[in-house]
Amino acid sequence: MVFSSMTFLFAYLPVTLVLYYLCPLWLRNPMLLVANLIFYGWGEPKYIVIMFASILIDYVHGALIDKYRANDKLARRFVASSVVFNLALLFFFKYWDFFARQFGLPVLGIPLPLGISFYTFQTMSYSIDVYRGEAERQNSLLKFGVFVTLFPQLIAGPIVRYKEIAHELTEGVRPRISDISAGAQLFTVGLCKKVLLANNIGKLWETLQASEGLTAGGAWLGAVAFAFQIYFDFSGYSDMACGLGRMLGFHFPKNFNYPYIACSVTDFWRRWHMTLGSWFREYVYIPLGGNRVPALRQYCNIFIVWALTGFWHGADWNFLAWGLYFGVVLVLEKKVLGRWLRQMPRAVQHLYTLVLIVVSMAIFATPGEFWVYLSKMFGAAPLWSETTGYYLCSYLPTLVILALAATPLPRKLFGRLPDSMRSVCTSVLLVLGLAASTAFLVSDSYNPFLYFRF
Amino acid sequence: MKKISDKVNVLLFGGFIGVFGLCALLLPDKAFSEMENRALQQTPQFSVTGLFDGSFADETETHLADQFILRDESVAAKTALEALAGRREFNGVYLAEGRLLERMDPPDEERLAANIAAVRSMGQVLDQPVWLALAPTAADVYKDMLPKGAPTADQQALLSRIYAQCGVDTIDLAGPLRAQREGYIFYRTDHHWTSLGAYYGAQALLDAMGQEIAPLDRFHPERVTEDFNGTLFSSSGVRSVQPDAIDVYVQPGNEQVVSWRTGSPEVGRLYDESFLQTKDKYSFFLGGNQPLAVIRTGNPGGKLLILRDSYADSLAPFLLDHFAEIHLFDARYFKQSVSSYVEQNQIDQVVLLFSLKNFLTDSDLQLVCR
Repeated sequence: MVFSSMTFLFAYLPVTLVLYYLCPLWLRNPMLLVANLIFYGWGEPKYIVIMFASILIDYVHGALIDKYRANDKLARRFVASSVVFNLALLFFFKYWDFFARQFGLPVLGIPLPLGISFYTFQTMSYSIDVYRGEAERQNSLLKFGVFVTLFPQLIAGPIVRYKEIAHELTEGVRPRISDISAGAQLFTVGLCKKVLLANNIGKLWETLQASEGLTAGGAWLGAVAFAFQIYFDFSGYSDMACGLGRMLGFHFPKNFNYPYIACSVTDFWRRWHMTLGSWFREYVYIPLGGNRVPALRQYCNIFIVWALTGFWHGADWNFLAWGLYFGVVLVLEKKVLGRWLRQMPRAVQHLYTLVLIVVSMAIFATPGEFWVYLSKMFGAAPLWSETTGYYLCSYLPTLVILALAATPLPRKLFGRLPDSMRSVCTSVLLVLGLAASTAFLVSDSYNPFLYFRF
Repeated sequence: MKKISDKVNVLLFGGFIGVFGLCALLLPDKAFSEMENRALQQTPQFSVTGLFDGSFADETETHLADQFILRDESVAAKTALEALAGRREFNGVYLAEGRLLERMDPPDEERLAANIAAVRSMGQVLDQPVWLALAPTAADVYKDMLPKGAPTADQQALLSRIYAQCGVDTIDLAGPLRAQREGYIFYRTDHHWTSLGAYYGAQALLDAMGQEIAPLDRFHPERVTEDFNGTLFSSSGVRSVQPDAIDVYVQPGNEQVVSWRTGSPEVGRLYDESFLQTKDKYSFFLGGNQPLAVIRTGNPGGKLLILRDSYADSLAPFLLDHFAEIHLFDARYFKQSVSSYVEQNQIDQVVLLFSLKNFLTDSDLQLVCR
């Protein structure tokens, strides 16, 4: 199920919330587990089996690691076995076909289980954190199951590491009215981002991408449209997830921090999909030696991390290229560009960053022959046409709104309002946002999430 | 203060999803949407197979969206918001200067070639004279009103290409329609021509056949409705365009209409007033699409066969004075070879009258033209 669907908004969510708040505390976790599984299995129930297997195996690994903590060698083996299991799961479902095609092996064509990229990473972090002593082992299989399947973050993140909500899981959560209110607001903001903004500009991207005789200007416009689409889609989804978590009483980590106001690509990655970045830093980059190794080795590590990051996003060459592209840019920024950039005026820094990001988005958005689209951006197409002008004109106001919405400005201005006015505005906007999103959802039933099949 | 506003927000949020959720649960299903001209999804039946192949989930989602209590208002609100944000195209329809113009996509070349070949073979098979008359859509006649650079196929180029290749006599409808563009020749909210547009179409047709239509001032149009919201109104979701009027130029007289809707003849009518009470008001003309309609005019003259689409329904009344019989043959629903029909019914002349848009996408012409 996805959040921006009629089924979720008007059937699943009200029923789940009412039951959740009515349940006595001891019954909440079993109830939540059932609700999570319904959410996950809705429309594709067979993969619940994999989910169960994943829960059970990681639970057992956590227990074994904890038990044999004294015997480091054995404990390490269990960590390794947990990592291998999760990666094998991911490899089989997500990457097998890609590699099979490269090496002429049988292609299986199995659809990707929802959220597998997210929950395998979460459960891996559990075993590793238990081994490192950064998290206590979860004794209750039920609670561990709730952690893995927790519906707000189950299929598209943010990647919640076990230790981040271990306390809330173990102690139980008692959401207060203020939590529910804050959660509802955050959820509505996310819903609006997804339904009103991302879907809308997504149409421009789809149209341009499919159009014959795309001009260079059109290709850039398309890449900008896609950059907005994916940001509002994905950060909207994260907002909805955090909001729902909050309504249930959980606090999830923040996933986006206005990435498009970054003043360098390094800065961008501190603001974009933050839970993925920190996962790779914590579990790959630092274990490889991090910054404390000779320069050459360090660059090598950076490339490994970025190749993996790219590949995590999808099993195709363009994702690998996308990751490596960032690897190159980040190394360059570390080595030379960073110093030069800091001396430049802010405007140049932003422009530089945005151009590089838009180019990266063009690579990201076009699986397969991504260079075809890229070459159109860089001159292998006529510069401009009347049709390009038409698209620019008819989406210009939307683009301006999106650009503003991608900055902290609206929030700042809202904060300037006097208190009483602000709470009235919040309530009014809450209802308007829900109403507008519902109107848009009702109007077009076709509404896939971009970050759904990752 | 903070506490109160928190409570208010929780109530608003819970109320919103709760109330609409309850509406979906409790309100009876609507069977059909006139606005969208389609059957709406009914409460899906649960089945284990449906659960596992995902169809139950899909149907539930469609059900909730289809049966949403403010569905039509939602569509209108969405389009209004998009228009406010500068959009000019809504679901393949442009909003331009107070009228809706349907975008024409470039044709599937294979299909177009097949349809041209079908017309050509018809011309060769039949001994009777055959004409091809293709009506451009309003998007061609009012091309200059389209947003600058808006993508739409070049209808003039398509028409001249088809006319050059079709191998039969052709009737130019685009020229007369363009010449009359100041008049009310196309509906603002529908893809058809108006009765006035059809008059100019009939004029061109009769001209080509060596007959002469009565001058316009001899007709006394009667307005039968001013509340016609057509197909483009529905598909675009744009609600800001003034509803159309339907005019009757030719009053019913001695003619007899035989409608073949079900395989057996029924008494039909030149105008079916009952449709004026429905959304689909254009079906007022001859009662809408049907496989075959035969009009016996009671006038002297030859027998005309029109291979039709719905453009012919509002044009046919203008031909009454000029033919003894008019056969309206719809290849989409009536699967009989045209040449045997022509032979059986001793047809004298054949006109293929289509909207260009339908001609480009038609897949049945080849079947009946053999």
